[in-house]
Amino acid sequence: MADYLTNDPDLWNAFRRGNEQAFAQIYRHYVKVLYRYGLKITPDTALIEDCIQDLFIELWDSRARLSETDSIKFYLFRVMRRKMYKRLTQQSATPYASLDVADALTVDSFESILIHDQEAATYKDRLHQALTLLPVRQREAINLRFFHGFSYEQVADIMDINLQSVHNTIQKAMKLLRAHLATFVLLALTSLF
Amino acid sequence: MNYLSFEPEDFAADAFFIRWVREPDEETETYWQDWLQTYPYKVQDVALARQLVLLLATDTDADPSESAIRTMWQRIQDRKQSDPVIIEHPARRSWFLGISRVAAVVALLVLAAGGFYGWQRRMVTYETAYGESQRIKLPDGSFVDLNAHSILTMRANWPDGASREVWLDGEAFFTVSKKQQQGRPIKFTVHTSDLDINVKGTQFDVSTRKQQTKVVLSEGSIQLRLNERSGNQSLQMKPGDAVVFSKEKQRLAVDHLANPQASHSWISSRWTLDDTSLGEVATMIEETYGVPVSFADDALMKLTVTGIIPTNSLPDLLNTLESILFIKIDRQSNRLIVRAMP
Repeated sequence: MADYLTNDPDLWNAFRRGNEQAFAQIYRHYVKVLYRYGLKITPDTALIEDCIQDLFIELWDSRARLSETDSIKFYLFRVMRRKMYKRLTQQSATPYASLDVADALTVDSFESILIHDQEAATYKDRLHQALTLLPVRQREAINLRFFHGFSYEQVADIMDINLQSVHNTIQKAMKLLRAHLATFVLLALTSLF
Repeated sequence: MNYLSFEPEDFAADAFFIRWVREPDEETETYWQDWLQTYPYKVQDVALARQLVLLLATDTDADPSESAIRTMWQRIQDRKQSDPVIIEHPARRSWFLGISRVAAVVALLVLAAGGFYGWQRRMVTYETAYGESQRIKLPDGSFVDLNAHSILTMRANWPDGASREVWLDGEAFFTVSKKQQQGRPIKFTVHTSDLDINVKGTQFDVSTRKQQTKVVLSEGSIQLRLNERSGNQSLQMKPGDAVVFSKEKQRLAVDHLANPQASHSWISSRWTLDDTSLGEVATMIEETYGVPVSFADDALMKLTVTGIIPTNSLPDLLNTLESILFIKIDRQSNRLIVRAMP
């Protein structure tokens, strides 16, 4: 993404003073990452789009009350997540159908992906496939930490859980993913003989 | 930190390790190179962990489409609280109001002049100013939404059973009620400079702007007849059809629109744009508000806009265009100049 937001605080302050251009820039710059983040929580794109709209409308309407903040991105993600979970709870829909099943996931499930889909092109594809089988919270934490580059502390704040839980969640996810990678490496080796 | 007991997944979840993989600096580089030299049997675990971190930094989900991004932005613009009006250029507002007043006075004079004709042949004229639109109820109960800078003329008296006729210069959306006389439908005709539109009961949009006349049918059916000057051809239209008659080429083009409602979205004070070029939007602004629009760079005319743009205020409309397209529109006293963002 174009890196024209070299100075977050300046842009943020211009926006707080009611500068429409700054508002449009913030939207342009963050709409895609917020959307991608939304997809980690629910596949319902209409709901994601609604939440993004509400987020920016509220952001504009309450701009005068907002504090100086050093990370717009962090702020937006935190509010986005609250909005999404609020909506999902209202609809009493689980974020992903896999939510209940996911806790029962074991290494075996990952092996079965491999067996069912031996054609998957690359290591990367397989990892992403494995990611979709993670419990939603694990996938979300992984996405925030590794793709969006938030610190563990920020992930804890965004997800509204304590720091230790974030560490535990990510560690669990890593165990499952690593097991998957190891199986794949093993298969790759056996196919040599 | 005792990394010796770490499995690959533990490395991959460790903040200091992640920092080394994602944004290596002297501190992390020195530390991890030293560590690997000390424990060379850990090289494979570390390699696996690095791969995990790097792969997880990619994302296979798709971005939202450009049109979704614009639609969301439009809804945000529609629903966010508008600011108290800030008058940046007092001159601009005065010419704008000035034109409206003159036009309103003209409309009154035209109506008054109508009174000089005999009652039977008395004609009534409705005229809208730039930036205005008006809903008119016709004597037969039909409705006409007259767009900005348009003129609608008709007889003041519509005897029962006589055919219904109006003359249009500009743009209007017609909602025609069905009428019958002794079991036979009474036709309703819209005359324009190029063609006559004959209908029974239906909804359609007619615009005679610039060098062309355009008719878009929302429901019902229409029989279209070009007048003598335009070659006397006749054509039956179905819902969704859009017919454009070009004066210059003397040619009739028929198109089918998936969304005919978009063509009369001006009624609800908004334009529904779908990949519409900024050049076309400029023409719409000229026709609706009577302000000439020029481009500092012709390439800007090719920018496209998709979404719903509110049109009840010219300043708001211009602000919206500026924020979606990242352009700057110079509001001069009697014209607008579109420039690239500095």
